[in-house]
Amino acid sequence: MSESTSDPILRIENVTKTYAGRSGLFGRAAPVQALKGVSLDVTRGQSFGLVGESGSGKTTLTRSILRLEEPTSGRILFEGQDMAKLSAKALRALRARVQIVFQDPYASLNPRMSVGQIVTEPMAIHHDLLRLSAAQQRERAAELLTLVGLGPQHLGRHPHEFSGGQRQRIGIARALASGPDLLLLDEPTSALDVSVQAQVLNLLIELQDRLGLTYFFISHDLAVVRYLCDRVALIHHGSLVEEGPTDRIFDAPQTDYARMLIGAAPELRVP
Amino acid sequence: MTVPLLDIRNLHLAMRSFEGEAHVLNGVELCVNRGEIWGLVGESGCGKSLTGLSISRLLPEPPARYISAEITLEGRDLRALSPREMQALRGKRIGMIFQDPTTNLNPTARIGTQLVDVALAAARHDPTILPPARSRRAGARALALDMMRQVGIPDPEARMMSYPHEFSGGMRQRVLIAMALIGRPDLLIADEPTTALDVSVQAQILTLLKAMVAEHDLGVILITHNLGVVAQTCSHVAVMYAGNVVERGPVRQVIERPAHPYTRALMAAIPTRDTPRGGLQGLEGTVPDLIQPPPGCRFAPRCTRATEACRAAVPPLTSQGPGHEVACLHPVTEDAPHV
Repeated sequence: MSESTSDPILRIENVTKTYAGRSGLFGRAAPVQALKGVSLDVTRGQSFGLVGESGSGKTTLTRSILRLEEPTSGRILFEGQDMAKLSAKALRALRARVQIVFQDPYASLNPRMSVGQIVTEPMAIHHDLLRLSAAQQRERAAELLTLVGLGPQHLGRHPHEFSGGQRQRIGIARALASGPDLLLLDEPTSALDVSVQAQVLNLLIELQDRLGLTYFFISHDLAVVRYLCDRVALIHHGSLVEEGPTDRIFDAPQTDYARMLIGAAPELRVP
Repeated sequence: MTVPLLDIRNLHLAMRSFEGEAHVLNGVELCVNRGEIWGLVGESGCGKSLTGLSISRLLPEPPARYISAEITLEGRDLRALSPREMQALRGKRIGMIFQDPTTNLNPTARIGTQLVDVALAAARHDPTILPPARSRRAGARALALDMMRQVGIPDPEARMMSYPHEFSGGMRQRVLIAMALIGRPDLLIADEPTTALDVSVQAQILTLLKAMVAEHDLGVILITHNLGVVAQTCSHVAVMYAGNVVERGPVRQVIERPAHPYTRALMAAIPTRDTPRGGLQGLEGTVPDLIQPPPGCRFAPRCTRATEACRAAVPPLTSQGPGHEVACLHPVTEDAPHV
């Protein structure tokens, strides 16, 4: 690692995103402000949790980090570099280092591809960076599958042969294929049963400890965020409501919104 | 002894599939009284929803095939009713709410029209539910308005003219609850009613459900995979695994002293405020193949306490305390670690 660990790996500076209102038969609807000046720092090697309800802007922010969405104003810096100012080539190189694991393991794996093809695809896309031969790609795919608790014997199988938890493991292996530093985890366990969720969460912790990954964890499940994350930001109607170390947010929330959200999460305790 | 509102015994259900016949419910037993909210919990595929659908007889036969089933509603055998009688019962005595509030409303009809239609249909079986009015339709409208008010929809007169897409998810679920309760059912079956909703809305809906039970003296079956929701909402809980009720009883006993190793494992997998990083326990192994289920206790292959006796026969539900029953030969007796 070239940077010192105190540098944020990801810095979001005053990002706003405004969608033009839909124009219909009766004129144009008012523009929608999906993000209203969001700023936050994600420290290398940590897990940062972004919590918000539906419509809060968490998906818009995630899409902006991936540059699938252009912020209306503000900057997103990866290791100090403004992502908007990168050349197409530099952006491609950066994409190898920022990967995403999607929410729905049933929808995010191509059913016609084998697991081997799914996991080697990012290596082929980033071939100019990784320079792995076909044989090396296959070898690495087998390593990655072992790393996530599957094995080389699964390379030739197809997604439909796997359970939800196993599919999410394949999704994680794919995200790790290009050797990323930052993983965006978009509700990676919300489609899974609790027993399987526990396995996937523990796998994420193990991978972070072993590979030094940084996680940007998007969720609406406060219990999961509390279990996994070092820092938490609460987003509501496009603005950050509260941000800080996980224990501080949960034990001494400062805002009414945070108190309401924490109070509404059903605890495993009979009142 | 009074007759329970709902009594399910010996519910064995097989489902035909390409690979063969899967034995999906394996002798489910459940008894619900008025005023009780029963949480039916378990992982995907354990048979919670099939149990709910079996009560209201909404499973097409085939592919479903009942090997045996005794389901009575206040002593009346539901399996013996004609389809017509059953349909009347579904509208009137049994209300149902499903997970997705969007697909269960007609997108092309106004909310008011849909509620009035349900009220009119329910009034065909019991005209007394309509308040006195000039016409049946006016009475149905008044009832629909009253129900919308009761489930906390603000400005119901104006919202009656809205279409489903103009409502948020939480408001749509309120409409469905209003719809399910409009015929004054005795039994409400709510299948994951809050899974698609935000936690703040979930809390409101569950509070509403509890208030409705207190007010109308309903019996409720709340199907969910969230034990937190059960702890906060239910009076009783039945834990299902691979088609069996493995543990049931008052919610406090089951949550604070879970006796079945599966209930324990399920609870150990939920992060709480005190779970240290990496301290969560997943459950190893997978749900058994129901086409060729393991002999004896279906949880035995994944159970750390299993012995030879467990693989010989399905353990019956045995008493573990007042009202608390567990289907296990080696129940856990220590207090749960998290309470």
